[in-house]
Amino acid sequence: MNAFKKLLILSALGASLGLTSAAHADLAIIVNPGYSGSEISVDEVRALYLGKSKTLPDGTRAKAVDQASDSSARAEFLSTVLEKTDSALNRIWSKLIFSGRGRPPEVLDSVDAIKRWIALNPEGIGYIDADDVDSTVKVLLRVQ
Amino acid sequence: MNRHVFQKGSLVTALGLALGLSGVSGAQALSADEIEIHGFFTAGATISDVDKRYLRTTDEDISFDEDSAFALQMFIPVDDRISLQAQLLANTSKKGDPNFELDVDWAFASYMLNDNVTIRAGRIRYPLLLLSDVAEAGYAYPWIRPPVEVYNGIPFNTLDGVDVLIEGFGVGGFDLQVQPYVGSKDEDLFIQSFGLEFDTELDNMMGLKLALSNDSVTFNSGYTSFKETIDTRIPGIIVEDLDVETYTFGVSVDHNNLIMMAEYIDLDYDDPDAGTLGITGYDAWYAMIGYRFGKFTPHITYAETNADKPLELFAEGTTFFGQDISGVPMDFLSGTNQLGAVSNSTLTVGLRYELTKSSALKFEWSKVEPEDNTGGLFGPAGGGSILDGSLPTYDQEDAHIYSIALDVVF
Repeated sequence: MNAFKKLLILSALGASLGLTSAAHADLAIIVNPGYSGSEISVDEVRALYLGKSKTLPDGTRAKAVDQASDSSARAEFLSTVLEKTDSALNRIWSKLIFSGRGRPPEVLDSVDAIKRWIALNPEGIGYIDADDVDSTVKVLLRVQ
Repeated sequence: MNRHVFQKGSLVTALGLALGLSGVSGAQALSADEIEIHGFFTAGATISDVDKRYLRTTDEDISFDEDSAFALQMFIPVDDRISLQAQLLANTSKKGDPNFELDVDWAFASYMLNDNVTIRAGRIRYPLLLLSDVAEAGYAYPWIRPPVEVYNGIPFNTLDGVDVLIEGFGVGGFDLQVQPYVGSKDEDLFIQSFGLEFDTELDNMMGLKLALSNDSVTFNSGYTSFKETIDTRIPGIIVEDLDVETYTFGVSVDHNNLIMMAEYIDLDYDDPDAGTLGITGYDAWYAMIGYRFGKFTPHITYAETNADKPLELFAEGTTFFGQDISGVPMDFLSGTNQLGAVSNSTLTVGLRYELTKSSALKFEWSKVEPEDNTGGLFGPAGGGSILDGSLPTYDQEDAHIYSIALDVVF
C-alpha cells in the first residue's frame, strides 16, 4: 500500500470519527466590498438560491454564483443553508427553468474565480469556505 | 443543475454541446450578453393490455412514442431589462405521428419593468394548472405524465399574446404570484374518430392565475375564458364563438418527505346549444400522495373527468363529405385531447427513482376506465375512423397501461 492510499484511509477514518474539521468548516456568504448593507439572513440566502428572490437585502438586484458541483463548500451549503439534496434542487430549478421563469445561479469553477467575480460585480453574491475570505470581498454572514 | 453559458454567435457550438452532453458543464464566460442553454430529454415506453388506442400511440404493441421528448431551451439577454426565451420541443404530435424535429413550443420577449413586474409577449404557456408551464418536462414532477383527465382537457398548451408576471410580495408568510394574460390560439386539432384535423380557433382568451407558495405548500387558482370556433365541415354542425369559462384550483405539498398534489378543473360552455353540437363542459380532478424514501418515491393517484352531458349520436341524415354518419358518436375526442363527452377514471401507482442527480427513472401502472358510455381516454374500438370508411364505436372495456420512462435534465 502506498503512502497516498494510507493517507486517504487515515483521513477517511479521521473524518468518520469527527477528528477532521474539513467537513465542518464555516461558510462565508460574500458580496462586493461596495455593497451598502452589512448582513443577510439564512432565509434570504436560501430564497436567492432557490429562485424565490431576486434582490439583496438593500434592494440591489442580485446575481448569485454557485460553486462547482464537486466542491466540499457546495455540499456544506446544500445541507446547512439550502437544506436540499442535489435532486431536490434540480427538481425546483427544473420547474423554474422550463417554465421560463427563472435562471439558476451561474457556476464558477474555483474559489478564486468566485472571489474575482464578486470583486468585479456590485450585484454579486456567493459563498466560500470562511478560511478563504480576504479583503477583496465583504462577508455578510457566517454559517456554521 | 448547472447553467450552460455561451457567448452570442456561438449558438451552433452551443447546440452541439448541449446535444452532446446531457450532464454537467461549468460556466466561464461572465459578461452580460451570454446565451444560456438548458434542456430535457425523456425516453419512454408504454404498452396496454387492450387493443384500442390510449392517448396518442399506446396500444397492445409496445410504443416508444407516447412520452418520449427532447427539448432545448434558450435564454438570450438583450440588455438589462429585455431578454428573449424560447423552448424548442420534439415529441409525438397529437395525431400520433412521432416528430423528431425541434419545433418552437414557446418563445417570448420579456421586459422587466421592475423587480416585481415582468411583461412577456409572444407565444407563452397557457398557465391554468400547477404544472401547465412544465407539463412536458417529466423530471419536474413525480409521474411519467401529469394526470390526463385534468391536464389534457383543454387541447392547447400555449397561447399567442401577452402576460404580466407580478411576484415578490409576501402575504402571511406566503409569496404571492399574480399572472393576468390575454391572447388567442389558432391550431389544427386532430379528431381521432374522424381521422382528420379540424381548424380550431380560440379567441379573446383572457385569464388570471393566482399562486401562493412557501417552502412546502403551493396553492394555485385560475380563471380563464375564451370563444371557441371549430370548422367542423359537417353540414348543420356549426361551432362558432362558443363562450367557454374555466375555473381551476390546486394545492401541492412537499414537506419533509411527503408529497401531495390535488387539482380540480371546471370547464363550462355558456351556449345552451353546445350539447347538440357534440360538445360539453366537464369537471375533472385528481389527488396524489407519495413519499420519498431516499432515492425512491412511490406514489398513488386517482383521477377522474365527468362530462356535463351524455355522449350523443349524430342525427339521422347527417353526412360528412357525402358519407352517412347517422348514429356515430358525436365526439370530439382527439387522442389526448377532449372537447366532447368524455368520462373516465384512472388509478395510477408509480415509482420514481433518482438515477443520478439530474436524471430519474420512472415506472407506472394505470387502470383506465371509460365511463358513462363514452370512449373515455381511448380511441374507437377496433381503431377505425370515418376517413377510412368505418363508423367508430366505443366500448367500455377497462385497460391496464404499463409505462416506463427515463427523464434527464441539463
